[in-house]
Amino acid sequence: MSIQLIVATKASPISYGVLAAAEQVNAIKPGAITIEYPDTKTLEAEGGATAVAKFNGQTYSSTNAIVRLFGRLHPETGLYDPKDPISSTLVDQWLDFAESKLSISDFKALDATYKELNKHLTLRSFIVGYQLTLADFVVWGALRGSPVFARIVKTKKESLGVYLVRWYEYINTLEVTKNAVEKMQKQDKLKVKSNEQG
Amino acid sequence: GAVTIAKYFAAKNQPELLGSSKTEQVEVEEWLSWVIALKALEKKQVVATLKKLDAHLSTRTFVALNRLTIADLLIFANVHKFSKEIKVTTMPNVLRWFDLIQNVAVKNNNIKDFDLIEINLKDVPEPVFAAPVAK
Repeated sequence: MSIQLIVATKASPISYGVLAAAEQVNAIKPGAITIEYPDTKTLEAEGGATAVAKFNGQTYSSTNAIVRLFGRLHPETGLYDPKDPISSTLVDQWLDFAESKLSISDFKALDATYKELNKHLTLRSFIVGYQLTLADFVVWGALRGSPVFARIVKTKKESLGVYLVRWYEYINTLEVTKNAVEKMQKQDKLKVKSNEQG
Repeated sequence: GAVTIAKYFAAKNQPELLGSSKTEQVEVEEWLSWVIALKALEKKQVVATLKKLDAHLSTRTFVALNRLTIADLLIFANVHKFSKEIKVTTMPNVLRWFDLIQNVAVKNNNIKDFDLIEINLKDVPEPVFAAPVAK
């Protein structure tokens, strides 16, 4: 049985972390997650959430609950290793970090958070351990969807620090994150086309 | 020599280590010639060469492409004996890459030819940011 993921394509911010994690699971286990892209700001039927996952009669509606569901149902992806309590607890810590410290708009606080991330990544190629985990996708997703981060990348990238930029560019150029972004943009274009014709 | 053997080995086992497309293969091969140059170096030239690698790795996770390739493996094999020269204060990017390769290639495959170097990932200097442009 596959997981049903529904992501609002007009949401602000778009749930990029959830989409990238879903692409990664599907790359390893094709068809594990089916994705729907409704053309709305929020999902009215789901109490105004911007993304939900449905599995076995239950609905999950926060970024961190959704990606943990992916990771726990598909441990072979290595995204959230249930057999390694240290690694999965570290991942949890970074999921909390993304939720509390990256999903804000206070510029000064964000700047301090970027500096913290940059320092963390000095000697690390991945956020946790030596492979991709949920932490990489969720932190990347929070940055990818942030207007503040987008502005800094465009105007004064160097102020983010070389380590953060190196890691961000790496995650940003993975096949799965490119797919996540491209599919989202394609949905948008399809809609523009049908509006023009109609 | 070793490079030929390694290429043969990679082709037999994991072709993606050599690059999947022609363009990818060219990028990987450029770094293989770098390996040959590295082998011929005197010890005192090594630091200067590693600093060039450090600059290259400041914007990249792996040496070539954006995944593990034979370029990482061969450069690692030749740089391992100089691991004492790689310090977080002078070559943080090489050190970060070195730790990545020793974990994904050496430790995960239980290869005994290379001693694992202990690296404290938290013991890092405060990052320096590009100085603001004077007005």
